[in-house]
Amino acid sequence: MPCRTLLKQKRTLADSTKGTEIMIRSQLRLFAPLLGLVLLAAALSVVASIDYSSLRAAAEPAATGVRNFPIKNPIDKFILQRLQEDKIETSGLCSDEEFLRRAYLDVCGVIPSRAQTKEFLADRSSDKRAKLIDKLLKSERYADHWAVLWGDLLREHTNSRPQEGTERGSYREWLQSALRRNLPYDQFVKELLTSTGSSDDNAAVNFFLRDSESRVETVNTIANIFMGTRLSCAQCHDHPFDKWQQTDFHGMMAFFGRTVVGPDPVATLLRVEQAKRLPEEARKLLEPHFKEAHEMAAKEKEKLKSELASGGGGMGMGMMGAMAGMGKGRDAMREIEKSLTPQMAQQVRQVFQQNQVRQVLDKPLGEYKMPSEGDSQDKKKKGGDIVQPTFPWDLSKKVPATGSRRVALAEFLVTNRQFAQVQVNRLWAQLMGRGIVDPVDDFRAKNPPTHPELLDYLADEFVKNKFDNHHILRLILNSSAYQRSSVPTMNNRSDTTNYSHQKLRRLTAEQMFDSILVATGREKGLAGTPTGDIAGRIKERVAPRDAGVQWASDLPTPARTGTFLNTFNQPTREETIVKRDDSGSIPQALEMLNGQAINNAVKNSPLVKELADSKLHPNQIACELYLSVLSRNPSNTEMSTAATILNRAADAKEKREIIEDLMWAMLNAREFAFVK
Amino acid sequence: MSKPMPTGTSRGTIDCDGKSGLSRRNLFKAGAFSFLGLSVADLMRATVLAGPNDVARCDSVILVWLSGGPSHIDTWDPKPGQPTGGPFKPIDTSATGIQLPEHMPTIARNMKHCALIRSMTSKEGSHERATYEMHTGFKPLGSISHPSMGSLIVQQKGKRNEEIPAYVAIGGNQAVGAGFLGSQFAPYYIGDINNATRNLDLPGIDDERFKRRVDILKAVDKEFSSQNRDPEVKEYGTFYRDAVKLMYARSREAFDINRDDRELPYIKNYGDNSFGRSMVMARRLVEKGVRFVEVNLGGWDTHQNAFTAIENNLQRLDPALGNLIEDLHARGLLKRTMVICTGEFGRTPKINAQDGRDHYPKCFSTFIAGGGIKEGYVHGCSDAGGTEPKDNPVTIGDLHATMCEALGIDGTKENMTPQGRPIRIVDKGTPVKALLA
Repeated sequence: MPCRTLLKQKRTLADSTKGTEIMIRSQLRLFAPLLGLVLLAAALSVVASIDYSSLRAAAEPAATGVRNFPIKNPIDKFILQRLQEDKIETSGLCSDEEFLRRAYLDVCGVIPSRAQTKEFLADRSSDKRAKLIDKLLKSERYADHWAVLWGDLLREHTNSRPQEGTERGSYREWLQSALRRNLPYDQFVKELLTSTGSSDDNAAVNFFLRDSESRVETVNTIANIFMGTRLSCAQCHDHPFDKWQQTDFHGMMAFFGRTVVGPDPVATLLRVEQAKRLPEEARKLLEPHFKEAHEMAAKEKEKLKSELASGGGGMGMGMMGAMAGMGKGRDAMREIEKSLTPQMAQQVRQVFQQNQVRQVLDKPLGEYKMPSEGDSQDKKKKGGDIVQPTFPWDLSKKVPATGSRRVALAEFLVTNRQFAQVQVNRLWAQLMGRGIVDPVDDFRAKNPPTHPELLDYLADEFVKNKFDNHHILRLILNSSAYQRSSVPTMNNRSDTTNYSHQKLRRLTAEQMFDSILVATGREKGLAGTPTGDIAGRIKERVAPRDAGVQWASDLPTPARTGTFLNTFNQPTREETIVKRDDSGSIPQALEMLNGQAINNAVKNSPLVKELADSKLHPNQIACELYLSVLSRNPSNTEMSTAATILNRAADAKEKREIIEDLMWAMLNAREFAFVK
Repeated sequence: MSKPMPTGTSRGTIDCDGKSGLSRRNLFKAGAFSFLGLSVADLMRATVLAGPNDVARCDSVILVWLSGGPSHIDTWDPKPGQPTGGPFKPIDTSATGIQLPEHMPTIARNMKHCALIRSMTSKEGSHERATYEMHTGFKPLGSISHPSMGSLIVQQKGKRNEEIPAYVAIGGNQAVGAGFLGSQFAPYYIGDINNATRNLDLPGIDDERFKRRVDILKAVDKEFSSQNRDPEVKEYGTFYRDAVKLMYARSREAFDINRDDRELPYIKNYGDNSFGRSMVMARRLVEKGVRFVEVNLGGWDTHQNAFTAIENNLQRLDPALGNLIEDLHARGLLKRTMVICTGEFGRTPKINAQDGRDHYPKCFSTFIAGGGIKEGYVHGCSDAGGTEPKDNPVTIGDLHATMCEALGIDGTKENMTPQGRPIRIVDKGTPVKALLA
């Protein structure tokens, strides 16, 4: 049977190769005349003539072994060991220009500005790379950039979708704030897992609000992003090719058996009171309930919560009960609706729905029951056997008889070895393009780490340094392994797992967006991007910001289909994304060629204006453009090519247009789209 | 701001018979093309469609997606006289024995060309999950992103026209994409039907200037692309090539719906609104050889005041879908074009306190016509109340298998995910032979 499967796989592969061949051949036939153009040159470069970079490498005396590999810290020791064993040589260290751009994009999610590039290149001190790393880790953009990654992992939405919580930007704000403070990672996870209250009190509850009442995705998320485990299969059956059993999944579910996500009636009523769309007639009828809400809000919050938690002691009354779905309150709501026209009643319902605030609470008692087979609602409600909480990664962990189960779970997690490994592995993958365990959410015996000692070392460092993300990032960023050139040599071209050269990585949607802003020297967001209440709200709540700039991280997520960010593969955030789709597409190319965002950015670029109005020599204009867009000086050939075109300008108008075209071309160059 | 385009009859003809298809604009474009080294002869060659395939009954699919989950009882499966039958009166159609609600007169008129499945059944009752399943044939998993049927069809059947994208999605904001097949097979998305050529038109510059830009780009790109020959870098270049190709392709006029006066009477018939225009474009795209077009019509999540909402929706759906069928038939295209109209699930027979119906995957209906589907036929039926399939239940997998059968695709074939996991084109399901003519 396994043989048959193998055969089948082989056949499928053969089929697909054949298909590709045919496609390439037919494309060649159709577009042979196009091939002169560099846009296509790459398609043929497999057979292309001479590879100068590898020739250069081969000519150097050290080419027989590993070269240019200063041991900066223990990371390099582990990497070097493997390279020597496998007789793979390394590419040289990257230039200052390459390092600068790479570090900015990796740490801050954006290219350096022209001024920042000039400053760094002019710095003659020997420790300037280390100094830059420290500066970037402390910058505001660090939090913005890494909050995008965490948004993908936690499926952060800013949409105003009350049924899914995530309260209009408050989740983003919480993530950015935690990252800005460099909140120790164990604390970060504990705060998410043990959060209670409404998002107005504690925005970490969005971790639960995101999935409303269901904890299935909560368990999947915890397993996936905190423990690098794909547990979701075990929801319905034992995992087909891993050790996980259905009881593992539901043992995890049981940690949340007492956790309730429900309406926060007081906060909801206070919001409804402010709603402009509430009809006047309804406002009058609701007045006593608003008053009551204000009184309740004034009472000690904790007291209210404990009342609610114990099964609704204070909940018999008015509108609050209605929102909690309780008898007396529901009747009060019906009474109010009766005295309104059906249309108006509907509008009131909508206002309540749109302004609903939810909260997360733990009941003191209650058990999780195994869901039973079948679709019948009755069966679902009755449920199966009681399941006790168990921690799948260490079944010896015993849950204390008293106290919060969620607190117990958080403690089990952060003290587990794999917890630390998963996070350092994620940080490594972000900077190196590949996890030591890869994919980063697939830790299991049959998918071992490529460098187990390195993984251990980083995990040890992480735990020893109180789960300090910056400490790990600093180690990686300062290593020679990170600071290697991305240009392969003849010898290491095919290496993908030993870090002999840096991996080229596509800029994410947000990195592209923000880098276009910096490259063109623009002060405001790209045209054609959504603005409005939600973006405004995020912006206003995240302070202090660079004046006037609207970064991608200030915009609502997920971006609407067809917008710049969406076109460049910003995920829908419906499922956990551990690795962005980094493939290109025709719509992406069209967006860069003809899109409103990029063309307005170029047309209105302050840098274009500055250069067009200046008396700078064409060579200097070329340099300024290369520094601003590609974060480097042009080569002599590039400079003279640009200067020749600039010299053709008949008048001031044409000069300006040529500068625009140069900038446009640099933004469209493939170099711009990659972290190299 | 962009260069004004000649309109109306001076445009090239739709069919491609060589010389007569070349208008002034096309000639000019061909001239502009020469800077990319492509001759007029190449242009002509690029529009020739691939010939029909022997195994296949069908070349293209139009999926009319009713997002939100349309009520089967108030659309394809009327239950007159039942307590939960709703207020709509049934009318006879051109197909013997098939009745539809009174608000579907145009579809009723063309029902003799179409079929219905009244015994669809599934288990997913949440919008996102059910939408995913109806598009991909798989339940969503945290770990695998499955390709939609459109992507699979393009991957399996290839392009019929090299010039334009083979998979186009119009409207909606939750298009299910290519999943693990990669963005090469993702839908080309048109968000605003009235601005469908948004990034195909030059941004307020002329062809000369665009040529200069591309020349500069060539120079700027040289060093990097010669140093880095990663497949990703190469691939990124090919998307640029295909993008420029599309900008200057003759076939792109399929997108230029608002610049073609010949379509005015059709737009009037289909409905002069976003959806009507989208359906006209769907027909134009199929005429140009696009494999899969998905058109979205939202507003079917009718938890409250369902009957007013559904009546409104039908006023848009009926003329557009009815006239699309009539139009495809008149042009001889219906034979090899499958039109499927469905949503993610049906709605409860029970009418709730807000005069609405809630999510109901257990029993619903799907409209299907053309591309080898039997004409004037109903497959399966629901019980008297529309609560469950009474005979011949059809699963989503069965529907996908039927589509594959008509297209000549072996649904049992497997694709490999990047993680090396084999995934069948159709997970579980057998073609409904009775539906095929």
